[in-house]
Amino acid sequence: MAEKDNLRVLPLTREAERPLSPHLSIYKPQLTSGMSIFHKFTGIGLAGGLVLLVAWLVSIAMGAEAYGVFASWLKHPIGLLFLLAWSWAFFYHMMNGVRHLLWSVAWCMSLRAIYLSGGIVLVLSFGATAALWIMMYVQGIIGLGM
Amino acid sequence: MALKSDPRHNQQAYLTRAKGLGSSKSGTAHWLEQHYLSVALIPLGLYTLVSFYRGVLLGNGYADAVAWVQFAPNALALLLLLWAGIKHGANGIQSSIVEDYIHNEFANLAMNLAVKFLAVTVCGLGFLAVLKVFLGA
Repeated sequence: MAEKDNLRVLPLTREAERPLSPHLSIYKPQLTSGMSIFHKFTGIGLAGGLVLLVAWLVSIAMGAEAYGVFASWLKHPIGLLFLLAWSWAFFYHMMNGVRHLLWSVAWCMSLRAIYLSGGIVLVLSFGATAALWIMMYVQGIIGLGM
Repeated sequence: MALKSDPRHNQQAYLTRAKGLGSSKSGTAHWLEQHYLSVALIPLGLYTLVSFYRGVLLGNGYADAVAWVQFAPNALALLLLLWAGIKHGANGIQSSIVEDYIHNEFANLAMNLAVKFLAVTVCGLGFLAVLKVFLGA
């Protein structure tokens, strides 16, 4: 048997590499798995956003000039895009987090409830983000062509 | 406690425990902490968002930003948000990202250390900034 062909000979510190069964390539995309992975993504994004929040606070502490520079970066189209994505991530992660908290007390655990609550979280997160940014536009905080 | 890693109930566990394998603390404590923090972050996050919108976004530049931080409830909310948010975020990244996806033990340890150090540094910086502005230094 040509078993040696299946095993690469590696230094003693590591085990031989063995083949894995297919996983991501065969997993049927579903709302549940998608929302779960987005919970992780938005969590990472929010952690990065916290670092930026601290940077903003530091710019206040550093004085008006530093603050002005920081604010101008945020008002730049790329900065605004980032803030838009971050605000969505905030609403999504918080609302899906509530969904997780409900699961922790064994609520909404039927498959139907999982899908329903998932849909609600999606709709509300996009809705809240849209409401926030529309409000900002209406109140003149942001403008098109800025 | 009848944990598998408890040497009193499982002879094989002596060696594994000596090697440092197994949970470093009770899983329940970690789970509870994450849940308490996430519950706390809901009002903290929402309050900070609303107050930031009304105080800073609707305000006029630097002076209003300073006044916003110097308002005591806002300063308190910021400090608590930083502490709870960074703790929650660091715990989440460690348990759900690093532990789940990095299998090399050394890389795992290095990443965990990096996340912890970064979290403490960022939190400390945030505290310093808020206190400096709040105290008007």
